[in-house]
Amino acid sequence: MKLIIALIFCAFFYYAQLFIYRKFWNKSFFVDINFAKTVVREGDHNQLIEVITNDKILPLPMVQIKFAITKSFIFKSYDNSAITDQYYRNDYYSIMPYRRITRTYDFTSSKRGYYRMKGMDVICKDLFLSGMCIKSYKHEAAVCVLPARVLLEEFTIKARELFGEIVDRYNRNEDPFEYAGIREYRSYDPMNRINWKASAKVSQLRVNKFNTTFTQRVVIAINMECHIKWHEEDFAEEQIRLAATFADYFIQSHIPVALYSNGCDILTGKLVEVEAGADISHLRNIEIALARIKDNTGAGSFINIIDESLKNKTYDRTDYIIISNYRKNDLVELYKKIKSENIGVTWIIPEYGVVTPQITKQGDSGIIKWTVKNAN
Amino acid sequence: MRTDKYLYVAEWLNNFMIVLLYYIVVEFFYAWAQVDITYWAFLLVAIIVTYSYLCRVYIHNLIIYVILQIVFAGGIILLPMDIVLKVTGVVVGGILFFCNLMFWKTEGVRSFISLNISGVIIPFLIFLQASFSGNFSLLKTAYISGVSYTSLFLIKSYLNNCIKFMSDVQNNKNVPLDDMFKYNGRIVFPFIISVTIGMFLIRVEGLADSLMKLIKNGFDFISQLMRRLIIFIISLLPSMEVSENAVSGETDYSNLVMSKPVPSWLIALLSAIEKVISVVTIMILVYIFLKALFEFVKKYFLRKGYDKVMIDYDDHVDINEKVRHKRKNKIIHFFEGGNENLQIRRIYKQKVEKMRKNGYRLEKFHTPSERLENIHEIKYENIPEGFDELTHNYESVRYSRTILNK
Repeated sequence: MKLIIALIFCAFFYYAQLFIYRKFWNKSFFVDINFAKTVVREGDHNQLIEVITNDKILPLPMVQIKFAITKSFIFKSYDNSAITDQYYRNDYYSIMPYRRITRTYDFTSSKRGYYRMKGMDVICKDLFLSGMCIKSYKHEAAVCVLPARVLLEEFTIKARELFGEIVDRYNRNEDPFEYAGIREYRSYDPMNRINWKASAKVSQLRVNKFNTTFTQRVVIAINMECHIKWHEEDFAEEQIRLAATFADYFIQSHIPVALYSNGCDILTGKLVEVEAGADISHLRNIEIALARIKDNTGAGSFINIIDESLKNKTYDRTDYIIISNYRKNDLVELYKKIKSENIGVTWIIPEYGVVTPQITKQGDSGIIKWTVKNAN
Repeated sequence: MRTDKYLYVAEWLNNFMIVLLYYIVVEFFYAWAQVDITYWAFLLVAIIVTYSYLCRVYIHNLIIYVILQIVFAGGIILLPMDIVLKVTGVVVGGILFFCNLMFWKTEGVRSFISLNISGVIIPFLIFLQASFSGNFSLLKTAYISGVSYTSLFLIKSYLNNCIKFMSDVQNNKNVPLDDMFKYNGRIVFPFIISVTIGMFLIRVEGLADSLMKLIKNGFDFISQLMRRLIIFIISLLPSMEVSENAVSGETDYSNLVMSKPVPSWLIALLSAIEKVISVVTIMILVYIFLKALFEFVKKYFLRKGYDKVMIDYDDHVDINEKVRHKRKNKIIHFFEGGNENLQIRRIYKQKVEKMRKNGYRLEKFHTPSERLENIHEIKYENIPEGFDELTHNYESVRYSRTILNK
């Protein structure tokens, strides 16, 4: 019976290696996929880093990693991948005992948003490439792509004057007890404002700066609902870019900025709302809130949001900047209502160049059309 | 192309398996007819099977095929061979001829059918029959055929799986096929060879006895050495009389003579010492052998040659490096295991590690509170029970002088 013993011997070793691989392939085996930077801006470069570690003596001759990520990330090449609703990636590795392989892909973030990679599948085969062992890993890796900035120089002079007026108004009525720093001397500065010690240090005249006496804020309100559904996404993205640009502009001028929108946060599902603030970290908060806007809850909720905001009398002065392609009667009425209460309000209407909104022809300098470049 | 090469090799392994089966059947019939077989029969069968394979693959016209077969059969008959061999050739050729006629009707790849492992039943049955009839020659051939068939089947399966894998990944360009098959081949082929050798060794008569004899001889040899060494050391003691050879300047261990009869307890003691030293020496030799084997495996498979390699491809960069471990001072941990503070720290570490393995993204710059906040913020699903309190306790014991009781 030695032949049968020999055959059993052979079968034993074959199935033993199959068993060993099925049982132990994922022990001390780690897969980590993350991004080099978790916060980038639209158009910035980033890196996708895959780290596979085999911290055991069992070699893994064939390991396949499958995961999906947004197709808005533009990679250098699309080998080993398929793009449909998402970018599906298929990577193969051969990893020996006690080795770690780190693979880095460069990509460009083409669209703002908050992108998560929720999980990945790992497939391993045994020595004879016959048995297949599959495991799904839950993995949270996320990157926040902040909206790009638009060039304020592309606005009309009239529009820039409006924004400048807001900044200028803020800088009047200084409070001598609210020290805000030192700046260069200008010809209109009184002599009693000169900081002689600072001037002596830099050999140039320097004056003290003071914060304003009254509280002021700028409210940037974005309406994610569009006038018509055609190219809604383009307008929504442009509105978000405008909001980020304005927030940056006003915060740099030390004016508190608040953000309201009828868009929902992709993580919490709540309406995007950021209270007023004026420091650099606040700007980052606003940009992240803008990046995380996903859906919109309709024009009705936008009007309610503005109405609620108008009830807030905490601030001595509030200037509203409404960014909305939607321009139906209910919003027009709201605009007129705000204006009638002597509250500073500017309405930016992003629209394609060929379209001229009727409301902009009414001669109201507070309503400005912003030309959106047609992607097609 | 690698796929073609593997396909080619797998095809010819399959053909060889067919030759083995045909040959063992031929030898069976020879044994049944009580005719002596020569190894020319193997060569003849191999030629006929190869010819049949080539006809299947390259001849597409049935009439040409029939003519070629007739010519081939005529050639076999006319060759100056033993009549039995001629008959064998004609019969095997005839069987393959009719099989090919059936094959001609079917569409598809023109080749022999790929054999399964179940084909080993033929040599197995012949082996059984030879065992009962006591035909040693047939027994040996059936055994060799069966083992060879199995080994060839393993190699063929591996190659077929490689071909299948290559066709699965053909749309993916950056698959490291070369590395995969190189590393895998270095493990698979020695594995198959070892299993084959093992299968052959099972049949070796008295293998176990030979092994035991080898070990016993080794043990006796070392014991002899130890005995001679001990006697030599004893001979250096002053009470020993020295032989004439020693006076003249030469020392011969075997001529040492004790001044008094050796007491039995001394002999027993010396025997015990000799055995202990022999056993320890064998253990040291075995340890050295295993360590050398381990170092060889480590160097060969664990690629100790390099620690880090970076390869820049068109669209990505790969860094392949060795995993390094810090030595853990297990002795200290063993003695300090009873400390409650350390227990809390250990438990916290284990919980966090478990969460990491379950998909939670661990940030090294997080403090424990920030980590807890992050877990609640992202609504992580598998939060361990009581983790909030554990975090609070961990912070107390880790960053303050708080000593918690049970």
